[in-house]
This record gives sequence, C-alpha cells and structure tokens, in this order.
Amino acid sequence: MDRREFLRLSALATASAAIARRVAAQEGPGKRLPQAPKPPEIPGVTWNKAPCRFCGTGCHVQVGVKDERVVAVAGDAQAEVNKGLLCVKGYHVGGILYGEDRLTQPMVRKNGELEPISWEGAIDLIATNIMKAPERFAFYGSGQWTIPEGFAAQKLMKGGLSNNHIDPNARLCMASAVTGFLSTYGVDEPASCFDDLEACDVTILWGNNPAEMHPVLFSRLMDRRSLGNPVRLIDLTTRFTRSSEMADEVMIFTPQSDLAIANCIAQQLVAKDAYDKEFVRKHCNFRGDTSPPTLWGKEISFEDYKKSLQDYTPEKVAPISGLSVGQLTLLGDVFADKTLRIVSLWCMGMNQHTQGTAINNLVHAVHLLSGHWGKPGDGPQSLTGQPAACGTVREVGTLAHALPGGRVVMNAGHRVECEKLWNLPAGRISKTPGHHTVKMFEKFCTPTDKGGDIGMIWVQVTNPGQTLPNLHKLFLAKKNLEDKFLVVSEVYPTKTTELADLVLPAALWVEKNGIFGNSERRTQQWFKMVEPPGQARDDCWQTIAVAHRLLELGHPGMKDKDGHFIFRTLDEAGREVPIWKWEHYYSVNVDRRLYEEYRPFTHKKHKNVAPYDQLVTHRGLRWPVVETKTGEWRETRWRFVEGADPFVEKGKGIQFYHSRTKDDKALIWFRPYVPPPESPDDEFTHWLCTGRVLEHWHSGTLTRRVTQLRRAAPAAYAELNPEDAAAMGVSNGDLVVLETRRGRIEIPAWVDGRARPPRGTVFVPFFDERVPINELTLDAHDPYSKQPDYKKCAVKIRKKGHA
Amino acid sequence: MSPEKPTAEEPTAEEPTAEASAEPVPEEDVTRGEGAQIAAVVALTLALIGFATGLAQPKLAAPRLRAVPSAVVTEVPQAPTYGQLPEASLGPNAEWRSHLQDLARTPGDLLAPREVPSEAAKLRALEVRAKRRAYSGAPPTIPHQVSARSAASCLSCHETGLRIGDRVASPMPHRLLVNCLQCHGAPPPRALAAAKGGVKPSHFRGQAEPLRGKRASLGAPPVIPHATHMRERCVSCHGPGASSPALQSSHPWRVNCRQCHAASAAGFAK
Repeated sequence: MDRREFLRLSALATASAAIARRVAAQEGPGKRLPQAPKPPEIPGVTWNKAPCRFCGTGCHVQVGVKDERVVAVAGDAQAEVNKGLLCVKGYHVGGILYGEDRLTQPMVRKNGELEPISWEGAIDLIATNIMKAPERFAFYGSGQWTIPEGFAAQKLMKGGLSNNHIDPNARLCMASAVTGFLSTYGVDEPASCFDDLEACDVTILWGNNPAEMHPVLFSRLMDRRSLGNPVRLIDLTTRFTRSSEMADEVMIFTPQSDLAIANCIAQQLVAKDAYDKEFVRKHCNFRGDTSPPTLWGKEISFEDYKKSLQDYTPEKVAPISGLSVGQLTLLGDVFADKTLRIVSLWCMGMNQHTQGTAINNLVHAVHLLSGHWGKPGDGPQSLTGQPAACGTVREVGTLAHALPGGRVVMNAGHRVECEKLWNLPAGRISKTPGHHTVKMFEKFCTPTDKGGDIGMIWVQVTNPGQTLPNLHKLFLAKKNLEDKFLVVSEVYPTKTTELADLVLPAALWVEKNGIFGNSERRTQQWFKMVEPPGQARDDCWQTIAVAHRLLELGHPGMKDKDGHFIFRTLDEAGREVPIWKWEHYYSVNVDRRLYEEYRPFTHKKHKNVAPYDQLVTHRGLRWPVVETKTGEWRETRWRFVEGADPFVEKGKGIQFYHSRTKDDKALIWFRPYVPPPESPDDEFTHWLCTGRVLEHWHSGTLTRRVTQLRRAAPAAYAELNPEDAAAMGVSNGDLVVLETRRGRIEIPAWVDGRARPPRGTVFVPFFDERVPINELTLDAHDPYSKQPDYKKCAVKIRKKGHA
Repeated sequence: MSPEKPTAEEPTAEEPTAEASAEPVPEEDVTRGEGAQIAAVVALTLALIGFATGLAQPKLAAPRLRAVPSAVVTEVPQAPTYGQLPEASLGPNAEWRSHLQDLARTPGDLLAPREVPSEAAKLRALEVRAKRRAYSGAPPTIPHQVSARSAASCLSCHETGLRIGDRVASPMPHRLLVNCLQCHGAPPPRALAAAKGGVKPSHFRGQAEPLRGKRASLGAPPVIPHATHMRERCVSCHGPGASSPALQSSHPWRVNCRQCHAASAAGFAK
C-alpha cells in the first residue's frame, strides 16, 4: 500500500458527507434533505400521572399508554414522595391489568357453578336480596377503595339503608393506628410527613421492615448515606431483615415485649429526669387505664405515671424483652438527647397486635415525653399498607362506627351534621355501630338460626378469603350455609370468588378515574386512561347502580329530603345525568361530583382536603389545604405546628386543637405490658409471624400475575432459623408441616432466605393462595381497634414425612 | 485529528457509511499538509497493528489455560483442598496475572478501530436487552443468583462496572442507589425452584426499545431516542465497557454525550 492509496482510504470516511451533499444537490433542492425533526417522543405513547396502585407510600408513576393499552411506566420525577424512583412492584404495575384470566363478565352461581348473567340481572339480584332484609346486608370494602368509591358505599349504607354494617379490610391493617392517634391527640392521622426522613438524625423502626414494605421511603433514608448526610438507623425487630442489614443497631426482641420496651424508655426519661419538662408542661396531660381498661382511660397525675413506670427499669425489662440492659439504656439515651431529631416508623408490627392501641399510645408517649415532637425530622410517623387506607377508610370513615370527616355514628351531633350535608331527613343515620370485620364475617359464617345476623355481604376491592385471620372459622364456614349470599366485585378469580354467589367484573386502577390518600395526608388524583376489559365496570358505578335499582324497587332511603335520588348528578346545564346507566357514567366526572360533595365533610376536624381541580394539577396535596389570600392553595407538612398548620393560633407554638381534654394538650399514656393471648408451649413450640415480601402486595392477586414479580418470589415459604432447621433435619426446599390450634399447611422451607428469624421463630408470607397461612393465624384482636394479631401465635413445625 | 478535514462549507459526517465509502474520493477535495500526513500514517499504522493484534487474541479465556507454556504452569500454585484452606497461603497465580494485562487493555484502548456493527447485530442486541425488561425503561431483572439479603455484593461489580474476559457487569446507569433488589427482580431463589405455576400470567406488552434517534439533518448527531430518566450515565450501555458491542458508541473517547445528543423528553405528563 503506497502513501497515495493510504491517503485515499483514510479520506474516505470524512469526505463521505461532502459526496452525499453533492448528490443531494444534484437531485434538486430539498428533495433528499430530511425534514425538520419532530419533538423527540416515543411514537404513539402518551403519558399521564397516577399514584401507584399498591401501598400507602403513595408514589406517583408516569403511565405510558399506546393503542389503548398501558405499555410503560416511569417513576414520576415531579412527585415529592418518590422523586422519580419506584420499587419493583411500581415499575411493573402496568402488568396487573393484563392477566390472562381477568374477569370480564358478571357471573352467578347456579348448582354450584358460576354462569354468565347480564349486568341488569346482577344489579337486580343484589337489590332484591337487599330489599328482603336490608338490616342483614353488610358491605365489606377496603383501603384500596378510591375516595369516591368509599364515599358512595358509605352513603348507600349509612345515609341510604340506615345500616352501619360497613367495614374495610383496613380494620385488619391500621385500625390500631387510628385508635392510637385518637386516644393520644383526640383526632386521627399522622401529624408529621415524609419530609422528616431527610431531616432526622435517628430513625427507629418499630417492628417495621421498610426495605421490603416501603422501599421508596427506605431509599430516601438510605440515599442520605451516599449523599454524605448519614442517618442512624435503629431496628427494633423480631427477625433480622433487609432493613436490619442496613441498621446501625439491630435489637431483636421477644414478640409482644415492645410494650415493655416503650415503657422502659419512658421509665429512664423520668428516672434520669431527662424528659422535656417544658414540652410536657405546655402540651401534655397524663393518662392511664381505668378498670376495666377503656380506649379513653382516665386522667392520672405525673406521680401516678412515674409510679406505674417503676416496674420497667432496664434491668426488669431485659428478661421480658430479650434485649440487653445496654440496648435498653441506649434507647433511653437516644430519646434523652435533645440535640437529636428522631423519627419513629411503624406499620403492621405495631398495628397487627392484640395490644395495638396500647403500643401506638406508648410510642407517641415516648416522643411527647422526650419532646421529640413537631420539629422537622422529629416525631412519630405511622405508615400504611394500602393506597387509600388514610384517604378512604380513615377520612371518609368507611368503618362500622364512623361517618365522613372524623365523625362517629354514636354522636347525635355528628349524625345531624351528616344528615344536613347529605340533605337527608332527620334520623336517617342509625346510632348503633355496625359489625367490625371479624364480627361481620363471624356472623356471616354463623347459621341464621344460631344468631348469624348477617345474611349477605358485598365485597369490593379486597380478598377476605385469603386475608382474614383464622379462615376456617371466619370464611370457609360459609360453604355449608345455603341461605348466605356473597357478592364479590373483583378483577381476578380469588379465594373469595371461590365461595361467591355473584361475581362482578371490576375496572382496575387507570381503567377508571380515582383518588387515593397516602400515609402523610396526601390526597392524589388520576384520570381513566384505558378501557376496562370486556364488561368490567367501575366499583363506584356498581354501587350507584344498585342504589338506583333499590330506588326503583321502592326503598325510601334512596331519596333525600327533597325526594331526589341520593346520587343525583347534574350536568353543566343542570339536567340530571342517569349515571346509574353505564353508557352515561362517564358523561360527567362522577369522581369530581362525589369528591366535591365529600369535601365539606372534611372541614369539621380541620382535615380540609384540596379541591378536585387542584388535585388534577398536583402530585397530591397534604391536608389541611387552605386557600391563601392570593388565591393559592397551601398544603400542610406538620400538623398542630405553628407556621406549618394554618389552624394553629398565633403564638401557641404547638397546639393540639382537637385535644380530648379540650385544653390543646395531647395525652401521654401509660399502658402496661400484657402477655400475648397465645405463646409457644411444649406442644406448639414456635412463634409464627406472617407478613409481606417486597415483590408481592397484599394477597398477591395482582402481583403474582406479573412475570417479573412472580419470577423473583414464586411461592410462599417458611423462613426458618438455620439451627432450628438443622435440628429438624430440614434444608432449603424441603417441605415442612406447620400446625396451629386452628389449621395446618405444608410449605417449602427457606433457611438462608432474605431474613433470619431467631431460634424458635418461623415467618411465612401471606401472598400465596396455594399456601393459605391465614388458616393458621389467630383471630384474637385488640379490644378497642378490633384489629387481629397476625404477627404472633404458637405453631408446631416438623419435616414432612416425620412424626 | 487528521489532515483530511472537509473544507469549511462542507458538514462533518457523523460516521462513515458503507455506501459512501464505496465512492472514490477525488484528491482535490482534500486539503493536506506534509507533516500531518506522516502523523496520520503513523497513527493509522499503529491502529492497524493494534487491530490485528486484537484479532489474533481470542477473547475466550478458557483455551488459554492449555496454551500457557509449561515453564509458567509450574509457577501456578496448586489449589488447596478445603481441609488445607485454613493454613494455605493464598495469592494470585500466574494465569491470573497474564489475564490482568489483557483486562487492562480491553476497555482502555478507546481509539482502537472497531467494526461498525450491522443493523442486524444492533437488533439482536436490543432483543437480548428486551428479554430482561418489561418495557423500554423498566429496570432489568437480574440474570444471575444474588444474595437475598444485602446489596453489597451487587455493588462490588455494578457500582463502577467490571469486565472479566467476555463477561461484563454493566456499571449502574443511574445515581448510586443501594437497595438494588427494590427495583431489580432476582431469579427464583434455589430453595423455591420447585414452585410452579399457581396463577395465569399477565399479557402485558411493553413498549419496545425505540430504534435509532432522529437527526435534524444529514450528519447531525442523532437525538437520544429513549427516555433518560434513571439512564443518565450513557456509558453504562454505550461506553467502552458496554455489555453488548453492538450498542457501543462509535466514538467511545467522547464522554460528554449530551453535549451533542439532545435528550428525549419522552413526553411525560406535566
């Protein structure tokens, strides 16, 4: 190769454009030159915002839709909650819509088999069944109900049928957090917010595993370490989890002893005179149990309080809790240090507890007593497991005793206010609380002639056939009761539809309009983006259609004081829109209509939610949201704190303006350690704890259909301590038999799994319907919140095939 | 860089195309200087030698085990048995040392000429990518077993990326996040490998990875065709250490990608 040739070759590349240009020029101007570029978008994909369908964190996702289908998802960088990040469930949330076996047709059970029925027939069947005995009808909903769905169900039951048998699965999830907030502050819901995660010095996890259950919040915490703003993590837990892996202190305690540990912290603060005297004097009263104990207790003096704590010294609590005196002292010292900012996080570990109200009270108490309250990064933060456990259940009040906006049916004044807001005749709302979840299903599963006073349950947006405790007693017993009628609105076949007499196909997530409310008081809205499959329809429409059928059948409760249908909806011209007819349901925005009817209810307890149109343009707003003088809507990050909460009077600093004691003070509770209702013994030798895993949400109905999630967590397992496993001759994948006094299952063992239970403890997740672990769990529940304990009961365990 | 600069009125080509290369170049189109010519010859000769050397050395490491001269083999310490492990003095062996030299060269030689990947090879690479992703932009699932407990082991390879022979651990394309399994689905744990079926699968059809980005005009740098959210570090997939050669940049020595390539907003909702 000579120099000349070499150069020619070398020049080829860079000169090519010149040639192309020249060729183009010869063919005429503009002919070969490309068009000006269009905006760089993925062709055909339109994006819209929605909150994630799963937990109570309330991440926002960007949903990509193409050709009427969801095709992509991205973390919403504009959302304050998740700042662009999601978890593996959120990234794959689009997959939940397209399971092969989506329910697309109403089905009625005839001779044991489900057969197709028309929507008109199905709605009529429900309405005629209710008409036979309206007082024997119960509505079972969920923290996955959107706010309008819950509000419509609430109005149908309490404002229409004068029937208070409406309760949600959130009873099984965060009812104890509600009673905890109520009996401490006089009003429900967290006062703090997720901003605290960036501002705190110490985070204490109380039986909480956010690395798997609230991973986006956990990442917000852990990211601080890589950003050079470290946080100290103290993990109070009953097993070593992925969160423990990242913790500075891991304190593995004996189940139920959290009560003693919290009291021990208080004892040290008092004994060392290290409590915040100024804060306590200005903002707190002391409270103790009456005999017998009640939710509200009685006032006690500081001296009484001090005396009650004397049995909770580190030395006395160490043997109960399994923690060392050093660990307990460390906890006491952390709370005694006024220079630190401390966030406590908790969720099911404290709520699913037969002393759930008590432990909630006690964690609030150590924060109040130590003055670690009401500053950014300094306060207790309760987490929720469902996307609208706060928005729908707690705020709309879809509980057997509650009315919208923090009201209760037992209070005559509250009933009158609701009747007025709903334009109902006086006395429409019944004053007797309905059956809470456990009782509702107990009565449903009891023969009518033996006092089973619930004859029909309509289940929406949840799967009690898998998630109720003690399933044999509370669900499966329905099988033999011919006169009991179970209606289930669902998106997939579940353990609940297996026993259903009528199955209604429901729209899911972005197949409908919706509004959720997350764990930091944030109300979040989204629009329908795709059509539901087949004949699937909105749950809210189903409720309204039944209400209208009841009206047609002559139920007087379906009319308001002026004789109008209780869900009467007008268009902009003032004409009534027949929203009970599916083809007209989206002629108006029913969500907006119901939400705006609901909004004034929220003002009483100063939970003012933002107007619908504000929600449309925000990634959620944290109530109370009030209009400023300049016409803007301002959200609240820290409730009861002057400067942050618009309802705190000037100069008060902190004002608990819904105080039980009417003096703007919160209550510091003493609640004693009470042993669990069931502990391991010679026969049932191990603790059984149940819970969730990262990849699956709730009963797994949605997530188990998503390939990527099922691949990562294909089946439930019994997580064993390696020494326990070795003692039984069990290794990974071996089948073991778990048995409690209530049931028995076979399940593969996982010995080196994602968490390490201490000796004598076994953990089983509840997402897998093939392994119904809730046939084994205990239906014993908290006396005030009625929330059962899924976290501890006694189990015996052996290798399959061995006696 | 080279004297074969096009004249001022002629735009610079983004990269040579096969079609254009087939055309002869009239010499008068090219301005040049004598000294620069010599430099170019030297540079290209070196590059070609490097290229030939690269071709001569197979990438697969396994056969080299046998190809090591016997004199070197004697230096390789015998692997201790498990029983000997506590007392054994462990250290790098000769074989490993010789590999390290290769390793140093592989990603470092940015200017080595590389073949322009064919369209088919690019499509194949995208297909491989798609197998581990639910849609364009989804976090990839993990193709290998991982620790179920801690992300520390993930970070040891994926924080900065790693290449051993033809095995590549891509560097993470997003900022440092330390709870890896939060987003990346692991394969089924061995303990649960026997678990089958249960429920019917989802027919979710994800948005495919877009093909090449549009150019404003011929020769203009293409815009980035995909969303860059959580994919801010372009070199993770397009850099010299990329797992798929077909997706590598033609100019890996340039590191400020978005200087020339406009990001696609992907039209996210406001």
